[in-house]
Amino acid sequence: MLEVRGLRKVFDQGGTQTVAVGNISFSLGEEEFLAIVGPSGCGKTTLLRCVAGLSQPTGGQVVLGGRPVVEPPPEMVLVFQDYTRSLCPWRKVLGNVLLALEHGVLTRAQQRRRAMDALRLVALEGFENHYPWQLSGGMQQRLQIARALAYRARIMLMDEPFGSLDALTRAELEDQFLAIWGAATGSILFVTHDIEEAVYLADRVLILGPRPSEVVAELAIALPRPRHQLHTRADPRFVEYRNAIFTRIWAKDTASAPAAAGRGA
Amino acid sequence: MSRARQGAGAGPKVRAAYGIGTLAVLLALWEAASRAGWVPRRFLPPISEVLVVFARLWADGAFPGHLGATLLRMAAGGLLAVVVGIGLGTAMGYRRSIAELFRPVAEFLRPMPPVAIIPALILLLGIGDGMKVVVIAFGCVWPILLNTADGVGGVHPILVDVARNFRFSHAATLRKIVLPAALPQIAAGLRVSLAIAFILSLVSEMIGSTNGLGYFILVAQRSFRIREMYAGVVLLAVVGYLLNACFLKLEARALAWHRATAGASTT
Amino acid sequence: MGPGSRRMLRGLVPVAVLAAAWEAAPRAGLVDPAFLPPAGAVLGAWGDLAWSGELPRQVLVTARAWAQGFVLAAVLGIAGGLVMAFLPTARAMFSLVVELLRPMPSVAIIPIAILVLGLGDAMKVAVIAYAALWPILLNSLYGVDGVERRLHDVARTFHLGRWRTAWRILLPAASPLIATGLRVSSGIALILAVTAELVAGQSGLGSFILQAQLAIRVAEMYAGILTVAVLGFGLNLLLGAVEGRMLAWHRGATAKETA
Repeated sequence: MLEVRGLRKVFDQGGTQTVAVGNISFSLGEEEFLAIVGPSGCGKTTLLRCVAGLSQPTGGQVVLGGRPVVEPPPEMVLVFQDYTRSLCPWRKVLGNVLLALEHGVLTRAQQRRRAMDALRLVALEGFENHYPWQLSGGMQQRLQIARALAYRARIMLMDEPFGSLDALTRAELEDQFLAIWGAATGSILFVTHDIEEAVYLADRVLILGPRPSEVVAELAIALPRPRHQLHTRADPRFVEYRNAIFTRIWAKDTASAPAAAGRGA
Repeated sequence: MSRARQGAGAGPKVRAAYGIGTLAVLLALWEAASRAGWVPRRFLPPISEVLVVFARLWADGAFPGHLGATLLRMAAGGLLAVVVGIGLGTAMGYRRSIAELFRPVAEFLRPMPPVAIIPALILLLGIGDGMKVVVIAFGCVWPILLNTADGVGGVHPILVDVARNFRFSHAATLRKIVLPAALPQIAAGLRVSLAIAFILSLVSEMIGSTNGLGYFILVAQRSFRIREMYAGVVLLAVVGYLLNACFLKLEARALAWHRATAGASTT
Repeated sequence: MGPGSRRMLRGLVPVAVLAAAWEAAPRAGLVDPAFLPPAGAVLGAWGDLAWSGELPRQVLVTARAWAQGFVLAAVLGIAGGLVMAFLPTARAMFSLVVELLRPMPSVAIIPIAILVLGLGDAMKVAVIAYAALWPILLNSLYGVDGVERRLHDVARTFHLGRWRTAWRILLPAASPLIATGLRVSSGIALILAVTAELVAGQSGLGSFILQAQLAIRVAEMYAGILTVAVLGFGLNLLLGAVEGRMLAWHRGATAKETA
């Protein structure tokens, strides 16, 4: 459904060229949960923005349903890490979800119904008249997800969505999100620096190398669903996947940075 | 609770009493000083007499007339400044090239005392309302313009990304995302402009006019109608207070979300 | 040509356009040259007045009144603000009066000042000082108020006592806001100086502009107006730099993650 072919993004700032994304190719199928991990600075956010049509690639192509992506298509929706900045503080919770719907063809009543459905999915029912600042971090992120769900896109692009949350909230939200994804339909493209989170959530994990980034490896995750914080993470296969990814990332690291050898463990 | 910030353990009622008490004492002093002749009556008539004249001027329509004229000019000049300021300011916030074009001129003209152009405007436009409205607009536009430019320019890029993600038109982005996000900053500019509009209306009336409160108090002084002069000053204090209070109330209502966000911590 | 110089050049474009329009429009008759002489004529008059010493003299008169009024306002404002900040009784007593007087437009004082002090310099200085007082007083008060709780706690931990806390911690912490108040007041002081001169003055730039207008010495009038603009710009730059110095550490220390 979604194909990324040889994506390359170079930033030119006053003479100096930075290659944020070197050469990335992959595909995303229907109803698939694809996670992308990589070291910091490897251009994961840039990749996501190019896929979403917010940024023009310098080379290569993003193809959705056979057509190239040149501007944000209606089939994709983004969820940002910085939830506070992506929500509208002047709108209440319901108003924030409605933001995704006001532009469409639905009547007011239909919009409201769909918004309430989305809030119910993320367990924020009852908070419609609260302001975002009155919610905790985890709840604000759920609100952003509700907004994305209401948009009914086929692909949800998520940029380290749980990265700003504390560990306990993150674990909670991981499970809640898996449940939501089970109930709703669509594919997820999930960027994270947390290897365990990637293995825990995804069907497939893409490993990126450091800048200029390329796909170093791909791993299919054959863990049973539904996933469980205790059982799945104790599964020996989980540990295998996790170690495999770590090794791959470290190997690429030391291979391309010999001068850094000699730093501690 | 730090003691330096509380009135020596006094509650709000006690503090209010102090405040009202001091005011009462000062007013009583005014009355006494004038009646007893400590201050010459021709410089400071008793406040009781001033208030009587105040009531009379209000009842016989003099005050409403002059006040209305002043407020109308403020409104006209302010409206002009708002249209130009928010319009151009939004453009400046959107496009860096426009900002670079206009900001230096704006930064140069902003600290200039607008009163200085009044004589030139009198030559060009006479001493009518046109001159006054232009002066008021000229003085008010800068805070509005620069604050709007800052507010619009400072809208967080993520919000803009959200608008693009949802495929909003430019008009929708402006209406739903940019202007609400910039509103706190714009409101700050408007608050400053309100005070400026008031002052410039009065000054332009003092220099060339046939009505308005500025004209009234100056002419009262020149014709030695001192109690009327003081009554006018009192009216100006009251009007200033009310204008400010109303604006703050409106602002608080429109920006309830902002105050809360600014005060809350995000974890 | 780097981006910085390109930006500066772009900033000069409207100036150039305005200057060109100012020169062309009166010459072409679009505006009556009797009321708006071409830019060149104004600049010529400006040069003549500067050379003859007339303008510098007027600038000095205005500047002197400005300085006297501003210093008076600064002293009274900082003193008053700090007294109210550190003495809760004084604060309770005067808060109401301050809240009532502060929204009153300061130009309302002008007729009273003329009545009591006549038309001379004393009147001007009094008006300037009254108007410029408020931002400084309020900012001094709020500056001390706004000092972080934590710093008060630090002072208590070290048993600094009331006055040493005030002197060593609260005052320095409040100084950026006080500096801002001084900058704002400097602009207000100039406005009132020119206003007082326009309304009732015998000398100074405001009076000069008015006399030129009445005598239809139009180019000279505009030259005077330009001088006021330059003066205002210069003062703002000067006090802005001072404020910038005071705010430098403040901005760095209080910078949180922003847009």
